Amino acid sequence: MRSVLIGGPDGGFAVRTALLLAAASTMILNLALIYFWVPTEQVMGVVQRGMYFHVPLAYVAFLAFFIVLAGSVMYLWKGSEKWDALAHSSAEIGVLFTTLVLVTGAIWAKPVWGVWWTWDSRLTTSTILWLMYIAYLMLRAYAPSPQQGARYAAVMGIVAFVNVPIVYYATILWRTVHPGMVVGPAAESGSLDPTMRSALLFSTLTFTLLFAYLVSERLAIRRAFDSLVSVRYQERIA
Amino acid sequence: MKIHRLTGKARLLAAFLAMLLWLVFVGIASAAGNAQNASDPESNLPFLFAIYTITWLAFFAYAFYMTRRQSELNREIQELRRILEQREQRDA
Repeated sequence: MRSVLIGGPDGGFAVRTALLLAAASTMILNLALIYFWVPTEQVMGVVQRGMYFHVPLAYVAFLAFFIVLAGSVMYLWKGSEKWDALAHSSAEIGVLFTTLVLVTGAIWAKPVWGVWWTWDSRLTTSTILWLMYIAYLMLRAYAPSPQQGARYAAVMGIVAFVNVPIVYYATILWRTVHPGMVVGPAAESGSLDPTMRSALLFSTLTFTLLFAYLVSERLAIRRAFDSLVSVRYQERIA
Repeated sequence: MKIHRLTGKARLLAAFLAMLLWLVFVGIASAAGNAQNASDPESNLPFLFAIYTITWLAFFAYAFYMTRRQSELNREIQELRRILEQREQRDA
């Protein structure tokens, strides 16, 4: 079994290293921008700087789940393992990013709203999204065979994506205490200071690079696992 | 499921991460107590610190887990290949 997404079984090291270096260097610059360049928001104070982590984490989680959708569709259509590997890797990292969105959001909410958590539409739909992709990973883990697990998970990966636009538009669809969109198609123009917007976009780029690095590492693990299965099979028939 | 024991370096790193996480939680708990009465926006600094630290801890922990898993898999592949080669030499 061979994956060709990023390098061969031992290959892809240069790509992974390049991605790691790019993510690390942009992250250093990103932190410098957040601490020294962007102005402090007048109402919330310094805690508002958490936005430069919270919002990009959410954006990258959406991107991860879009990749799960694309990988799942392609796997069901073409039946190639590489698409399943991509969807699986992306789902796992998407869950990590969504977990961080929920945790960082709760920490930001405490000084601003006075509570760690409230059953607001954005928060509730985000939690449902998180649970759906945890279900995706559990479905794979507990399926009778890896092939069946991959098929069930592909269907789940397509169905679960329906929740992504619901999460994004939750602040428009329902009354909410969560702030409105500052990036994306539904963002109001001028909702954010230009300096803050630039820093936010740079932070989004940084987290996207980090995501790409993590996916490439996760794919390398998958390749190693596939090689192990193949060698075990050879050992049994030898 | 195979459970692996942590090596000396990994144990040290885990202890350091646990200590850092504990410090973050103590900081948040203390700041949460003060946040109700504080009028100074700068008093929210521990919350910002917590957001950044927890995010980094999670990424480092995940990257560490992946690196370990990959090296374990590679070790197992090499071990199996060695067994296969020995078997082939014996049979030849």
